[in-house]
Amino acid sequence: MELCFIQLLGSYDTPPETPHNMLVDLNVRWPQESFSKPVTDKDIAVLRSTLETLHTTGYTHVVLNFTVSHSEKFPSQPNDLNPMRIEERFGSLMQTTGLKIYSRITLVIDDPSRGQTLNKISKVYDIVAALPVSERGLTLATTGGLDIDLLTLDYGQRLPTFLKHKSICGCVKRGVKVEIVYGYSLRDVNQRRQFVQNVRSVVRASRSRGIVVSSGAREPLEVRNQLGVTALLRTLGMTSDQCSRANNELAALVLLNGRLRVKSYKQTVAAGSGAVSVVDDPALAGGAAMKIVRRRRDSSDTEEHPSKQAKI
Amino acid sequence: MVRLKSRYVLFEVLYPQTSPSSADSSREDIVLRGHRPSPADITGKVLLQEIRRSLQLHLGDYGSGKVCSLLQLKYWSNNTSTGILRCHREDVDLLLTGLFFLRELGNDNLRVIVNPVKVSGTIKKVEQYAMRRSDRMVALVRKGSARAATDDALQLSNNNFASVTADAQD
Repeated sequence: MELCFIQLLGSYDTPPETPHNMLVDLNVRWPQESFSKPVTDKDIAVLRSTLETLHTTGYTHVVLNFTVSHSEKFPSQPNDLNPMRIEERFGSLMQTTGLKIYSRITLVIDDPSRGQTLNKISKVYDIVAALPVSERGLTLATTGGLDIDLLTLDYGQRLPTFLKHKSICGCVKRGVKVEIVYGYSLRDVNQRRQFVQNVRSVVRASRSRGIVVSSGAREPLEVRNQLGVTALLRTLGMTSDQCSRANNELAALVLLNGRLRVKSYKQTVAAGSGAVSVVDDPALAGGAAMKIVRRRRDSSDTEEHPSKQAKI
Repeated sequence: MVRLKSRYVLFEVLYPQTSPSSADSSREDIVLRGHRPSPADITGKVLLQEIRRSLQLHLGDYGSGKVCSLLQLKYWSNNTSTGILRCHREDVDLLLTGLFFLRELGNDNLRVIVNPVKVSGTIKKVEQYAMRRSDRMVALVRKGSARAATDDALQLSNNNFASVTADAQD
């Protein structure tokens, strides 16, 4: 960490570091249902072939998603909090294909009163997402009670409540994106019908702002490329530029936001190896040790340029 | 008179492995595993039939009728598992949605992904794109591979567009 560099982040309409050839899948299922059940070698092999298929269909950044209940007790050992060990398991795959793999935790929120704090868990995952399955859970997730990057819903089931424009848009305004998971539409007839219904109501409630799309793939066959996903979303009532942003820029932004939450000082300054992008920087990967450099800033300077302070 | 406007969709059929793959495979192996030749019983006719069935199942009478009013398979190659479809300009999204939901092919219910690669207004551009794409792929496989010019690699480049049928309406 001999070199420090400063990156000022502008407003989030024009993300400073999202090249156009970046294709992100924010949700590939990590084959484990809770912390107590260990993952088998067979599951890992299936996951590996899913990742290869994602590479074949043109994805460059993939996030493994571990879904647990919010009320389930997290392990007390810091090392057990993230069971993925991405570098060890997929290091060679990442090198040969150039694919970048990140980790994400999704908390299924049912009863908010039995939830736990996220301080410990959000340090070891790149992205923290919430999946509310009850009305109170949805209220907690949308009003900012939890420090999350992404709001996702169970698209295979009826939504817990009617989505209000105020709550979803308020959530988007704070920078939390809403996720559409198209994997549900490829499973069975009922889930597909429910998927269409739920996507319609999410698009309505969010006025198609801040929507990201991801696969939620459990096996290689549930992977589709950008053209197919765009066509699906367009038939479901989004415009084409929103569709292409949904798995390019906005998804990259979620990744950037999540990375900066842990690996930067006040989401503005990150110390790394000097790579162009915070998302791709190897020095900021995993649990790498880092040093936070504090710099003093003239107070008059910040008042003149409030836009430079913009938080993502 | 207004010309009939159509879109051409270049697609490829992927046969992803459901059986586990080995931990450390080279880049060439991954490319070759991703793009495999189709079995001989997947003919153009079978493919078109499956696409029509998927459209009927997922988009209903209205959608499938709309797309099928002009739906032709202009080209299909078993060696490269690529093909070109033609449809109305307005209905290209519906057709792609139909391809999105297509999961099984043929009598053996082979599980596949139909991967749309490129949409264009003229068939010439689609062909050129397909050729460039397969050249890139072959170059990738040959580079640094001890098994240069294997049968697999040759098969990947074996796109023969002489068999593309001309449009009747244009």
